[in-house]
Amino acid sequence: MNSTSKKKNEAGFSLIEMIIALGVLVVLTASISTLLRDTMKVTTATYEMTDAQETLRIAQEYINRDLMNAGDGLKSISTIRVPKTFVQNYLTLNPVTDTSMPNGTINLGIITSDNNTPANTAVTDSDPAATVRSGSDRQTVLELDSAFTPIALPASPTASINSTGSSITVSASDISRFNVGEIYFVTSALGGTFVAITAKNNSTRVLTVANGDDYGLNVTGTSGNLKIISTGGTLPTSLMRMKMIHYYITTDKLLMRREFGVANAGFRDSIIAEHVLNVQFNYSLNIVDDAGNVAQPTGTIANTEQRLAVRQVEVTVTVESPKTLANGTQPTLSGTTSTSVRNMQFRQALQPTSGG
Amino acid sequence: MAISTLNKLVNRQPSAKRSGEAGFTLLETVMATLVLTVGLLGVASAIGYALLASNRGRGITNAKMLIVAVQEQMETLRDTGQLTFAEISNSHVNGSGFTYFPTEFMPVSQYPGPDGIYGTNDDLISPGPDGFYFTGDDFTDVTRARPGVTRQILISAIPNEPLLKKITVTVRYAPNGGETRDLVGISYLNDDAHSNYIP
Repeated sequence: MNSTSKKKNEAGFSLIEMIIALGVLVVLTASISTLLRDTMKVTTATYEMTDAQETLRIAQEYINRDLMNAGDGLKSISTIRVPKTFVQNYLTLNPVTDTSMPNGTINLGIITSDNNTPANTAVTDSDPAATVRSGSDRQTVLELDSAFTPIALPASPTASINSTGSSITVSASDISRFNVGEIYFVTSALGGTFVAITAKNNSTRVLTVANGDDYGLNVTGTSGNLKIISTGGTLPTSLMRMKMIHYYITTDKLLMRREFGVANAGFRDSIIAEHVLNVQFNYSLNIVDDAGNVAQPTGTIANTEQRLAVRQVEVTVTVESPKTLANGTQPTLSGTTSTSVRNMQFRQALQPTSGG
Repeated sequence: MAISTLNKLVNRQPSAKRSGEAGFTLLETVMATLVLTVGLLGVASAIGYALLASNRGRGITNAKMLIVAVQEQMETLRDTGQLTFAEISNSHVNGSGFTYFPTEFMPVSQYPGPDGIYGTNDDLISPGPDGFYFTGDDFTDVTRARPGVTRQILISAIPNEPLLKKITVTVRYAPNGGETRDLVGISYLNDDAHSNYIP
């Protein structure tokens, strides 16, 4: 084939053209692939951080919603008698001791703190077994379950609560509303207490709340809580469902919400958020000292005065990104907000001796 | 038959090639690569913008929490009677022990200072080693301020509505380093403490 007969557009590339073209292509490909790799890293990091931010927001919203409702239904109840062993097993290692209560009985506040839980604190009755994340706070709030219509328990002509405070008789129409293992709240003019149903008899309409329940709540006999608040069944009482809402973080970084006082069970655990490293509660108190200083926010509600004086709770949640990023780090995010505890203000107003 | 077809193919001359089989010229290839590069750069910048937007979103969430905290505080102060409705103000009320909420952008402190109220001039004051305020060792501790964020609280009366105040809280934050942004939250506070608090 004669080269002069070749048409111009079939001339092909010279070696030098090919080398230059390949060189340009290599440079471009290298820079594009670097760009793409970095872009992918940034995309992944953004996704992870957005995920973490969402976790933070959910955790804050759950906790703050419960704080807003804390104390609902407890406006006129001055004391809530609960066995100390129950509080220490389930809620806090250091309950507030009330000198007006007998040994072994705690006057449970609307808000119970547990500041910087020590390592190896087991979550009682957790399935699967879990321990509280070291250094994180726990908090419990009380709130009426408005889905349960309260039942008035008359003291006469026939007492609804027996003289030892070990059984409660309800009406034929109400007995079907109860199940063994459920936790209820009984109140009278003398205060309130929690009881767990240990047995139920449909024909006699008797709910047994004997000692030895699964949670250690029931105390019967002379110094029994139900006996004291009903004065051995001689005071009219009201039976309702009060939720004890308890927040904690497990060592697996799960933010858990345990709700006592639910239907068909003693309590229910729900996972609120994953990858939560820490929750810190700080309590603003309405206490003024002699020098005119307002007490500074505290991480522990340490005594009966503080227990009644909580007016606002600051919540700080720290979360981590769900996965380790390409640079090997696992960034954390932290957010703080504060919620006014509306019903604590009611409660304090009704107890002016506390300093309000 | 098959062999003759193969021979035809083998013997085909370059001149018989149709113009559609000519391939790309170097110029075409370079141009195509350039177009591709521009396109990919566009995608990269879009992702960069998404990152910026995500950071802004995070900033907004955190700023919102700091705004809500002030609004909640105002409600608490009113309900508990710690401040009167008149004292919840940007100016000092005669005879009041409470100063006022400054109108400037203030550091967002982690502690409320000796008056127990966030957003006032004394928030950064530490009680010092003795743990008590109004003693000789009190000092201003700038580490109490949350980094990268300031907050302004404006409280204004509403004409012909003596029982209502407008509270405008602005949080200034820097979601992307140098750039600062403002998030404004407006709430209204009524003088309805008597229904909540029984003195």
